[in-house]
Amino acid sequence: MRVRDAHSAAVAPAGTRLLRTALLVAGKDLRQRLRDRSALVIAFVAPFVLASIIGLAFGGDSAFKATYAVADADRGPVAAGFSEGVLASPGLRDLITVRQVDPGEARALVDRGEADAAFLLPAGFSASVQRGGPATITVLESGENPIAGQVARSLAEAYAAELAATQLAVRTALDTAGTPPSAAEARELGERAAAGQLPVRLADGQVGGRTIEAANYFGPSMAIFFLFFTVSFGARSILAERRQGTMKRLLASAASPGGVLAGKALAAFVLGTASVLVMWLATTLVFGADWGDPVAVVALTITSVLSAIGITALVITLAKSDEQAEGYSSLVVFTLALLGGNFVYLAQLPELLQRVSLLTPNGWALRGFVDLVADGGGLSTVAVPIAVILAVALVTGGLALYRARRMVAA
Amino acid sequence: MDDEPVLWCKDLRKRFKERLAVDGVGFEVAPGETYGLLGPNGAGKTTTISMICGLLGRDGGEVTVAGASLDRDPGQVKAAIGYVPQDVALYPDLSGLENLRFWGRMYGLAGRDLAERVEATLEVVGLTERAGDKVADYSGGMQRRLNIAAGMLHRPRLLVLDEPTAGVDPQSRNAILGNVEALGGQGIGVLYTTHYMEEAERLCDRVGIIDQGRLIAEGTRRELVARVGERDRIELTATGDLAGLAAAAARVDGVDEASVVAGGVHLVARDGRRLLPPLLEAAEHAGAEVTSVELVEPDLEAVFLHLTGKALRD
Repeated sequence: MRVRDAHSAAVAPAGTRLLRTALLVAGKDLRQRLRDRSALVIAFVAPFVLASIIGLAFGGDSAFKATYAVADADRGPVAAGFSEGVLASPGLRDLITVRQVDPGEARALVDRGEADAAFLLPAGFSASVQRGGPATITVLESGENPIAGQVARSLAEAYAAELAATQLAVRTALDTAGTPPSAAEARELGERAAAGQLPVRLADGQVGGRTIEAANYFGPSMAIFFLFFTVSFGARSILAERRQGTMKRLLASAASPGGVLAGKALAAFVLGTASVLVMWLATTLVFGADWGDPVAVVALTITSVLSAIGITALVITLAKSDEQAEGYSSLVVFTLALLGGNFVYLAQLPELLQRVSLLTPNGWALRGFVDLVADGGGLSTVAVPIAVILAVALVTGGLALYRARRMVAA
Repeated sequence: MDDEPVLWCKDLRKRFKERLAVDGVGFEVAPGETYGLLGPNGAGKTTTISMICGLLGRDGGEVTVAGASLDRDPGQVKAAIGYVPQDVALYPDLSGLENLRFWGRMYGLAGRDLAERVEATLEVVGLTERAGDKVADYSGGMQRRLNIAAGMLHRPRLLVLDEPTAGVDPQSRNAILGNVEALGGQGIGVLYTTHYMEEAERLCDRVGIIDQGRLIAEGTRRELVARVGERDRIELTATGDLAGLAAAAARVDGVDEASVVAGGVHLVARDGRRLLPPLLEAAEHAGAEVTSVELVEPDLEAVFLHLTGKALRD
C-alpha cells in the first residue's frame, strides 16, 4: 500500500489552521463540558436555584415588602411628619404597609411577627424637637425579616438626621428673629424633615430612590457569580491537557498554541454566554423578571463573560497544578463576589463598600444591570459599565494569553 | 522520491541548564524502515524525538521529514509525522471513536475519508467492538492501542513511537508490537524508542544506541555486534573423536576458539550462523557425530554493555 501525503488541510495557511484548530478544540471542549454533569449544574442549575433562594430570603419573588407598626403617642406635627410623611412617601408607599396602633399593640405585633418592625414616637416628641431638645424614635425589630428591620432603622435614623439639620436651620432663623416658634412653624419643621432625601434605598445607592425586584437583582447577580466558575474550565482545561499529555499531542499536530488557546477561550465564551442567557430566560419565565433592554443585556453579558474568562484564566495560569488552580480561582471568585455585591443588594452596603464594589468587574456588571432595570434605557445607560468591564477583560485577558502561551509552550 | 529518507536529522543538540541532554545526535529513517533508538531511561531518547516532532526547541541541528525542513516548513513536517507519546494521550471522557475523529480532524481529515480511516484503524488495533465506549472504561492495553491508532490515523510518512509498551501487560504488548511490525509493510517509516532490548531486536531494521545524549553506535544488529567485536558461541553436542572435532573446527575460517567440554565442543566464532554448514562437514571428516547444535548470538544488551560498561536497565 502506498503512503499518502498528509492531508492538505493540515498544512493550510497559518490563519486557516488557527481558525480550524480553534473551532475543533472549542467543539471538543464543549462536548466534554456537556458530558460533565457538575459543569452543567454550575452553568445552568445552580445560579437559578441560588438566585431563587436568596431572592426569597430578601423578600420573596416580588419587590421588597415590609409591614411596620407606628405608635404615635405624640400626635404632634413633627411626629406626623414621620408617620404620615416619610412612611407614606411615594418612594415607600408601594413597598411598606403601615399600621397605626398604640405602643402596647405595636410591641405585640412585632413579637408575633405580624409586623416586621415598629416605630414608637413618644408623647412630647414634637414639643421636644420644637424646643431644640432631644427626641427619640424607638424602633422595634421582629428579627424575622432582617432586611425590613434594617430598612426601618435606617428610615428612623434618616428622619432624625433630617430633623437635626432642619432644626438647626429653623433655630438659626428663629434666633435671628428672636421669637418662639409658632405651631405652623413647628409643622413646617416636620414637613421639611419629611421631605428630605432618604438615604435608604432598596436599589443602587448611587442613583437613589429606585426599587428593584429580587429576581431582577439576584438573577443577574447569581448568573455573574457562577459565570466565573463556568468559564474557569477553559483555563483549567489547559492544565488538564498538559497533565493527560494531549497538549503535547495537539502541538505535535499542525495545531498552533494560539489556535488551541483560542479554541479554549471560544468554548468558555459560548458556555458562559449560554449560562447567563439561560438564567435570563429562566428568571423571566419563572419569576417574571425584567432585566431591561435586551441589546444592553446582551452587551453586558458578553463583556462580563469576557472579563470572567480573562480573570479566571490569569489566575489559573499562575497555578502549577489542578488543585492550586482550583484554590486560586475559588479564592478570587468569592472575593470578587463578596466585594462586588453578588450576595447582597449593593445599595444596602455601606457607602465605602459600594465604592469598593466598583473596583470589581462584577460590581460594575451589577451596577449596569440595576441601571437597566431601574432607569430603563438601552446601551447608553450601560456604556460606562461596559467600557470598564471591557477594559478589565482586555488587560486580564492579555496577561492571561501571555502566560498561557508560555504555559502551553512549556 | 521513494529512496529519499522520511527522516533525516543531523547534529541535534539540546541543553537543559547545565546538562547537555542531547549532544550531536543524527540519523536517517528510510521509507518502510523501522529505526530503533535504544537506550536506558534518561539517555536522551524522548528529548531527541521531541525535537524531531517540533515539540522542543533545538540548540542546534537540522531535521528534515519527507523532504520538508522543520525550520522552514514546520507545518508540513508536523503533518507528515504521526506522534505516539509515551503516556496515553487521549481524552478519557470521550469515546474511542470520538477521540479518533478528533485527532483525525486535527490532521485535516474530514467527511468520508475520515470515517473510512477511523473504521480501518479501529479494525487494525482491534477496538471496533469497543469504539463507542468511553476511553476511561478501556483497559490499559486498549488505551495504549488506541493511543497508537490516533498517531497512525492520518497515514503519516513517519510514525514516531515513544516507548509505546511501557507498563503494558504482555498480551497487549504483543498486540502493539504486531501493529508496529505491520507498519513497515505499508511503507511508513517508524522511529521507535525503547529501553527494551527484545523490542528493538524484534522490530527494528536498524538500531541507534543512545547514551548520555550521544548516539554511540548505529546499524543493524549484526553490524553492531560485529562492530564491537562481540562473537557468537556455538555449542556442539557430539560423540566420537571430540578432540579431532575441536581441531577440525578450529581450522574453519571464522572460528576463533575451540575447546572440548563434557559431551561436546564449544566454539567462539564470528558470524556463527554462516559457519554451521562447514562445521558440520568438518565434524564428519573428523569422525565425530554431532547430535545437536546451539548457536548463541550476542544481543544488543551485550553490545550496550560492551559500549557503555553498564546494562540497559542500570
